[in-house]
Amino acid sequence: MQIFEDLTFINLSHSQSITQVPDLSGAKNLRVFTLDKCHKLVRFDISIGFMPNMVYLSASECTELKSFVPKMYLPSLQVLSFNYCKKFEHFPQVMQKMDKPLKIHMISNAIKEFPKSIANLTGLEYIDMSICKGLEDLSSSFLLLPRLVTLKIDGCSQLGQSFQRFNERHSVANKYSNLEALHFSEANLSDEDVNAIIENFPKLAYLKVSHNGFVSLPNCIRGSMHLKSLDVSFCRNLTEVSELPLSIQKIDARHCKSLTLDASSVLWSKVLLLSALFR
Amino acid sequence: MLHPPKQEKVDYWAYSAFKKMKNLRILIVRNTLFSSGPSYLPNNLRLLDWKCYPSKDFPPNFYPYRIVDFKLPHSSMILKKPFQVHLLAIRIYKLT
Repeated sequence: MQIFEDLTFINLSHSQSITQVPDLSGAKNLRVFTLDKCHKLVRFDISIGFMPNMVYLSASECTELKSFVPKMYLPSLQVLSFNYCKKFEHFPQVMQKMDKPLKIHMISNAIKEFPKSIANLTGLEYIDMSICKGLEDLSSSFLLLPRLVTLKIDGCSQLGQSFQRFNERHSVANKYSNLEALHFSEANLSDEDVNAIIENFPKLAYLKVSHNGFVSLPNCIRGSMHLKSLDVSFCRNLTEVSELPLSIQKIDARHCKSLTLDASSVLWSKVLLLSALFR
Repeated sequence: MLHPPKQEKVDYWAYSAFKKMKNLRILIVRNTLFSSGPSYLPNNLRLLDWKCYPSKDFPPNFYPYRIVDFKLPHSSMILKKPFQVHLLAIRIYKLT
């Protein structure tokens, strides 16, 4: 079936009558498909999960959308966006390895878990799942995705445990995560959670754990030789800070009201930028 | 290209106006609110860029087989089964 061979771009954003996306298998060369803010959109045809040339697919702020497709293999995909689809709860099965560099945006979704086949997203570099408050677990195979460099899970308050579990399984798997940037603020992180994060992600350069309740930063942080930026602002219970690695360039410790004098002098001794510590 | 400096409302127009433009390749409509859509669109279109396209569906017998870009934000499209309509259109087109 060769119907729309040249069709490359479709933009139907803000179209308030669209409830479903029909079969587009006749548009094999479709590369960019934008459906942002289609507030009545509830269904995608299964063909959309198998578009060989799709590079960019965005259906952000489709507030009624609960799922995309049950199965997908989009070998050219580089951007997938479902930001603020507040009812979105089902991530598709990934049928084969997708190794193109991929960014996924899914802020404020209703997703609880990912299928095991997420391990097929071997090209995944960046994923933003901030404020997915129902998200219960991230598997080790997810955290060990080879290209995953940036993980944003601000406000995902059930995920601290996943990092501790990762700690337990990880010694068996004997693999290392390549994660460089982790945003994990407002997530009820305990001392154990923070310890597990710092122990198991030695390549972290940017760590944002602001607005959490942990009391101390673990000693092992000294071994995080790549850590450049640390944000612990609004960690109102943070009392103890041990020696920080030499690599550190920026610390944000605003509103850390419980810091001991020793802890704050550790911070002062290290930082180039430390704004309004005692504000 | 239809792009008036100030937004214009069009209540009455010749819906079949595009019938005389069979070779039209690029159609851009901006800043214009039509109360109803065209009854005909040229099948040679490569780019259809129509913000606030007013109809639920494309006109019958619209089969833009060389289309590259459907740019239709803020449309009233329903997209129920538009591609089936086109399939039908191509069959008729081939028969004649």
